Amino acid sequence: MTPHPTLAGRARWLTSPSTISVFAGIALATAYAWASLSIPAGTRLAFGVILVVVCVVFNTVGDLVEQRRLSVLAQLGRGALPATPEHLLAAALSVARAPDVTLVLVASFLSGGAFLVGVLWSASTAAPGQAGLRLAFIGLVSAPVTSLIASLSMFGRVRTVLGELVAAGLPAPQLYAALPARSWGGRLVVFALVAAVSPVVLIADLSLERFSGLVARVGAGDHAAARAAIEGSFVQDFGALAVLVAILLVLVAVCAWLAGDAIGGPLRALAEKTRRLAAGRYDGDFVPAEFESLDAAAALHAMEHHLLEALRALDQTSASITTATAALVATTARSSERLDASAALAQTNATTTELARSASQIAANAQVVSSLAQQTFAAARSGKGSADAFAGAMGQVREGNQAIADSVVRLNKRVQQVGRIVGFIDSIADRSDLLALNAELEGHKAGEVGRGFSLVAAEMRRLAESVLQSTREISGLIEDIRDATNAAVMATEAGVKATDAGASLSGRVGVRLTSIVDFANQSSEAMQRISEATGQQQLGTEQLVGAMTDILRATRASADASGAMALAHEELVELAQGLTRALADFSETRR
Amino acid sequence: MTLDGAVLCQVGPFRFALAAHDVSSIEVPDARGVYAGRWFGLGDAWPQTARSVRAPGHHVVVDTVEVHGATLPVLAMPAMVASHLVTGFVDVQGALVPVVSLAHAAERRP
Amino acid sequence: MRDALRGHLVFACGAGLYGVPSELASEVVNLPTLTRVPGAPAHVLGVFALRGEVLPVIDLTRLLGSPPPEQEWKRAVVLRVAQGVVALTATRVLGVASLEGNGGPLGNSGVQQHLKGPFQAPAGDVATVDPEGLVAFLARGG
Repeated sequence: MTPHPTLAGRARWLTSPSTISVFAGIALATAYAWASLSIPAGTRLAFGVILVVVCVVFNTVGDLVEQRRLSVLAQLGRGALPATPEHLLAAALSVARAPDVTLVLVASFLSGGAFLVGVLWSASTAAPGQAGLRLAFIGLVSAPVTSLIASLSMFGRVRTVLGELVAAGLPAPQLYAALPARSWGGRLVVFALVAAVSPVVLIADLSLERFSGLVARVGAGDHAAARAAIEGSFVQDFGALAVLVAILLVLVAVCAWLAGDAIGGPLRALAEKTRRLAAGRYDGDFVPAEFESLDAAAALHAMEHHLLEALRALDQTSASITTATAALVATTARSSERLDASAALAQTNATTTELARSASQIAANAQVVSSLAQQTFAAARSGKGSADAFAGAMGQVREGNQAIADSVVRLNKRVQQVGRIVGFIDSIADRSDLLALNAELEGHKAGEVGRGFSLVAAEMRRLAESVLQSTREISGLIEDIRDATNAAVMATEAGVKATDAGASLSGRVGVRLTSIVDFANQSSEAMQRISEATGQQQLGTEQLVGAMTDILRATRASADASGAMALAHEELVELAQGLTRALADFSETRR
Repeated sequence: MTLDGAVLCQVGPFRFALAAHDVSSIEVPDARGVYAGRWFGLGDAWPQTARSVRAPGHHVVVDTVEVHGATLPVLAMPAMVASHLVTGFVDVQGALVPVVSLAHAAERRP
Repeated sequence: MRDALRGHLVFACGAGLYGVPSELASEVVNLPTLTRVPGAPAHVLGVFALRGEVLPVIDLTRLLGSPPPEQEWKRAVVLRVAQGVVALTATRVLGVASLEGNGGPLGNSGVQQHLKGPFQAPAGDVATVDPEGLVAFLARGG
């Protein structure tokens, strides 16, 4: 993963002011100790070595603790962790806590370190135990003020890194919600005490040291020597005291400046932001802050968010208003056009007069149509009578046809009976023929004796044959009659069907004619009513003409009023356009 | 001359009689059978329900078989009708039925 | 030889007229339902029983090889000779007539040798059939 462009190296950068402050504090404390303690010449090297070793060890340990605390930020900077909101938030919380961590670390390490150096130095160089104790005391006194400076010096960089984390994708509201709510209250009291008490203690210490030295010298020597010593040391002591006071003043001033900056920085930023909001520039920027100003920043941010929401809604409303205004402008323009319609009304008045003339013409035509309808009614009634008569005739034809069909069927039956009888006669004739034939044959066999018999038989055969001939002819006739009757039956059946169809047709014609008679009757009445209505309409139209004239007059008055209304519309349009422009400006500044 | 028991055979619309003592068995026809319809010009194909009438040395396939138990008088075959099959006629319910000799038929296969 | 023949029973058989001596024609009957005789020649139309006697029915047109008649067979002429009884089919029987003319045998072989003609009758030319010769011919197997 590639290092993050803005967060790379920020963990180290964040803690570097504290390191500088610590070393500055140690340097000052050492200088003081050097000046106030009369370190024996033989132990100076040991003192220096011990001091350097302890400083290096403690600084290394403190630095490791600080960097471990900021490990998420360091990983983000290296690109070892993705810049997700969770990781960014964890980094931001560790960053926000960093000054407190530094404060505790520096205070404890400095006091502990000073104590350790005093003990080691005393033990290693057989220096007087009182001197070691004093060294520890100097460390203990200088530790609070040094740690205070170290901590306060980080605030500026903490804010910068928090701003960068928000820029890297950490949602500001989430950060505001997650940052611990703390108060300057007690902290400021402690700071003030440290800033005020530390110089006093140091000055008191130096004074006491000088005084006890003087007392020792006075107690040991004569009065003149003591006087000289006091006068000599007064100048020397005064110089040292002046230097110490100057250094302490600088320290207190630095402390105050840093504390003021820690408190004032966020307030300045908030003030600046509030000014921007007041000017209508909604950038949604994150303002890093601590303690009470953090709440203010969070509240301001929420307020800005709501304002943005409201503005967005207002923007939409303004767009609607713009559209509506444009429509209104267009409508007003059209409405102005419509004012010209009074000329058209004059035209309409003329048309209405024409309508009145047409109405009277229509009334005359309606009369004619009415009489025609009555004629149609009469004709239809007569047609219905004819249709009824036709239907009756069809019924008679049908009955006749049915009678014929029945007769033909009866005839057919009779003919079949005749056929059977003829068949019977035929068979008898055939047998007679055969009988006569055999008789004739027998007669011939009998020779002369049978001749007469043969003659009779032959005569009988001729008779039988003529009967057979007749029956054959009758059979032919019967066949003809059967064909004819079959044809007749079919014809009469077709006739019956045709008359049935005719009867049904005439029935339908009758129904149609009945409905036509009804319609004709209705249309005759309707025509009558139309004729009457047209007469009334004629009257109405004349009244309409009068009314139109009145309307024309009223319209002209209305046209004047419309002119005034148009002016009002134009003003409204201008107002709307002004509003649109204002909103547009507003939107411009927001971007 | 009489016929003591007759087997009445029908092929198509025609009938003929066999002397009952000539017939050994009545069976389902097989491929070697000869259809009696050939004698009446009906061809060689017999219906599915046909029966085979067996006599020693010969068997003939007919449509249906009916055994007539009564003794019937046999009318002589007219001399001028030359048939190698028919030996005479019996009167069955007013109708003449030719009596066929399977022995003759065996001699001259139809 | 030209003389009047004794009375002949004249009958129509298809297109031709035939005559048989009236003393050998025993009777004329309506043609009844016939019983087919298996294995018999084609000109034997079948048999029928007449008073307890089985009569074979002969179709002259088939025997002579003439075209078959247009009308149906209506009658049968029964011939009775010493050798047996036979019936000839007829479409129509005209009756007993005396025949005139010089008729010779219609052929020298087969059934033709038993027919003679032509003879004249009121209805037209007639060929006479010799019943005894015909029956003998049929008894030989046709």
